Amino acid sequence: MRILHCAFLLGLGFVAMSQAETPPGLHPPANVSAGDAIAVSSSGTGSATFYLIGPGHVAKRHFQAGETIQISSGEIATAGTYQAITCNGQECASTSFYVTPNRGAELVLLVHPSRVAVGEPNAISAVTVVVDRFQNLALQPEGVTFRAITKESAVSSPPQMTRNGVVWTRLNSGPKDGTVEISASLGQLSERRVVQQVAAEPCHLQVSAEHKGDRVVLQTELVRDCGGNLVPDGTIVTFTKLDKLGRSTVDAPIKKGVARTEMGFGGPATISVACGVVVGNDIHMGGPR
Amino acid sequence: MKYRLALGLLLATLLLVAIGWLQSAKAAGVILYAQKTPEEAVQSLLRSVRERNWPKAQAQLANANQVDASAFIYDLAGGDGSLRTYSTLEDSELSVLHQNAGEALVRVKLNWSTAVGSISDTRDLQVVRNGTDWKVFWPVSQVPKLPAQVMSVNYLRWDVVNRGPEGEWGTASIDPPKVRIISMNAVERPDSVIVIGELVNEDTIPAYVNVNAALIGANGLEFREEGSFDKVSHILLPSQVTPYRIDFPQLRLNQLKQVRMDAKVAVVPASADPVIGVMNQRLETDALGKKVLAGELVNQSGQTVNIAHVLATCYDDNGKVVWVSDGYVDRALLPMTPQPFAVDLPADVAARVQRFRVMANQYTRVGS
Repeated sequence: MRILHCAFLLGLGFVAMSQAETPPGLHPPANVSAGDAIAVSSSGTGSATFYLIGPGHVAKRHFQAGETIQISSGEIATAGTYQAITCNGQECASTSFYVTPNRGAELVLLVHPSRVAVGEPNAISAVTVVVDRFQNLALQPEGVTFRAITKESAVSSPPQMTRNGVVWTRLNSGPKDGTVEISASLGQLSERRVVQQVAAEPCHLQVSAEHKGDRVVLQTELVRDCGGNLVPDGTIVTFTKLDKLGRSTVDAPIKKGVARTEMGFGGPATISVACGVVVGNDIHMGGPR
Repeated sequence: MKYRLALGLLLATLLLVAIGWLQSAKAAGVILYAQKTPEEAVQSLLRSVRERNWPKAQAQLANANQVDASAFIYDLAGGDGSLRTYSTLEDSELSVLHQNAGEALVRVKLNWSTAVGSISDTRDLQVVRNGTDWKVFWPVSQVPKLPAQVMSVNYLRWDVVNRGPEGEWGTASIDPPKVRIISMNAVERPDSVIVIGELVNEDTIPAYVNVNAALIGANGLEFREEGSFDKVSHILLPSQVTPYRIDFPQLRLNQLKQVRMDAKVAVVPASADPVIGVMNQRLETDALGKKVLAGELVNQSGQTVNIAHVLATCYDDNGKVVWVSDGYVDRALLPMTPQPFAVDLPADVAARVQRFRVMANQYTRVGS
């Protein structure tokens, strides 16, 4: 009887030993999206340790082999390859799974330049990057619509599909100065930027001169580009007076559309005006009145 | 015999003490005896100027009673935050141009040590005999005063609003202004190579610019790099053109294979005022026989410009930039008051100059 009891206990010990040595296994889901909580089933018996190593997160916890391991959404927020490892004593088993980006939840819109001259072809570039709510590049194709809105008009493009999360377009600048609002939209998502359209080089620069005692007042007409847009205030207009005393120059900024200056006047003089590469009319003035 | 030696030693001691006292008094500018020559009179006056002892300096003038003290001090010590107020008289060079029994004309070159380097000022001083003494006759000048008036200014300035370092990636930012180097020329001088040229702001906002040049040797490697420092107008308004000049001392042109230019540009807050006109620009020969580009600066705003800096670009008959010269004006630019300037040109360059363009930078103390 005593021998039988010992044999039973020994057998039980062997069974227990054989169960503890069963290596644990892990079975993650085939398709995992970033930020979606998952359950990883495990096999084996006994207490074990679970490790999760991913591109943006590392976790460790104890579990009972054979139970299902819950991985929360925060632990797989970053897209990429994750490695799941279980260890039972000296034995470890590992498996890896890929977390794909989730659906687009945010738009990043890069618009360049922030200022552009009017009437320039393909002068504005707009690049949209679609990311999910965890800032992973949304790789699955999505339809993005671009819109350009000015005071006078609004145009929009047909939906353009992203490739590897990116889509771009090029736009001509409009004929009138002012702001143009560029927006990109994806479903309910929308992002906008503002580009300043400014006048191009001046056209038909005209200066007039008026005597005031021993001085002469020089003033341009409204300085416009060839499309009729006012050249921005602050643009330098150079007035030059050439007389017997030498050359006199004044770099005067345009204010309220015109540039103005005063110079001394003491004899016949030739007055000219220039703005950038554009040269205006010359004025020949006689002696003092 | 014993007393004779003691007496001799005592006399010698007294003589040496007297000589020492006279020398120390002379060094201190104390007039102990008559200024026997025109040069001595001018030197004595300049010692007082160097010490900034204005009452003593004025007392040495032949026309001390006619010279207004404030005008005299303004003339020599400056005012209105001008460069002269940050200057000290380092030394002077004198030469007598003309002398007779009663008067003399002395040319004096005053070398001022200033915050931006050495600046020379050449004056012809009339010195008159007064008994056995010579005294400087100071030209009577008045501190320039404008009649009281209100000048309306359409103040135009640009401010920059940035999102700060915490700005999100991909949000709109301000593009740096478009600035283009429109010309570059490397010229060889006896002791250096100088890189000169012009750049233009092609944008509609002001630009802060700085120009650097890197020299590439025959082996294709960069061996020296310099910046334009103050020989460029750092703030460029839209469509404004500035010359630049970068000096490479102790270098020959045959040591370079290539010059690599780099213009660093940033958007900065700026003001379009004050406007400074450059009047009556002309090439002439100064009193020392040097070729200079001279003219007058006129501050067309109602705000005093403390320090003005002149940048001159010289072109040959093909429109190529052949020289860039600069100079500081040590007088403040008062509103609507012409202030003369002159920048040096090498004689060989002056002979080739067909056209020139002068621009003025300005430094204004806030609240002045």
